[in-house]
Amino acid sequence: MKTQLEQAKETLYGKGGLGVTNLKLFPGSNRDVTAEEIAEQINAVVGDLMLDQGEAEIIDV
Amino acid sequence: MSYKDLYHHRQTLPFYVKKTEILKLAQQYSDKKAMLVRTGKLTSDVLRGLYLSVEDPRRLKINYAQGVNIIFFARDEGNNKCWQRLVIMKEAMHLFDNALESASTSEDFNYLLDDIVMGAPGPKSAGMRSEGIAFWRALSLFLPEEERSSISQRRANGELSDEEIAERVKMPLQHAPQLFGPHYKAYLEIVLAG
Repeated sequence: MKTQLEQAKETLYGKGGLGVTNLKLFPGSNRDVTAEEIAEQINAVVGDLMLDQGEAEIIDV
Repeated sequence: MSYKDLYHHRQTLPFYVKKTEILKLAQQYSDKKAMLVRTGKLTSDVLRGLYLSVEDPRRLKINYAQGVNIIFFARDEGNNKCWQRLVIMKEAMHLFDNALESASTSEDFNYLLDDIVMGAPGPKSAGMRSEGIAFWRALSLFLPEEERSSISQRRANGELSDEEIAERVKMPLQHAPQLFGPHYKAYLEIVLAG
């Protein structure tokens, strides 16, 4: 079974993935957070994004 | 056009500017067109915000042939409106990242995580440096320099507390002192030059 980190890397950068060209993070309040916990949240929001779930506001100029 | 142009434009605007206005200006001055701002399953203890650039959004059910930049933010008790304003503005500053600063491979992503989670030894990765640059760029847009300088004086005189300043500027209390710290102007020079 893949770790959350492995899953995130595959979804973001792997073959057939999103082809992400930049990713940045604003860390949360827990200084003891692990890479797995961060990857888990990335997987959750990216999963929703691919299913077009969640609230979005489009700002287009 | 650059962040420096955005910073100078900010000086001509009123004391308070909505984050959506800042986002539009960031797009304009970075020449990046499409941007989405989304809530989602982030929790403020783990991740307050996340920025993604996707060049080929075919898998996203989003119709942006030219690619899209997406900001996610946590919307829970720990990420109130002031935090959301800072987080969204900081993530928008990544529109100005250059190719070297961009985490565009899984190795870049790993370096970034190591820097954030473990405080990796040696020099910070270019991606991690851009996290700091984006943070200070966002901070520098909260209010015009003339007002910042005036508030700084009143703060030094004991006329304004950090709580009052945070309330006026609409920013998280813990970051208000950074607007008036001894290194503020040195940091501003760095982010203007970048």
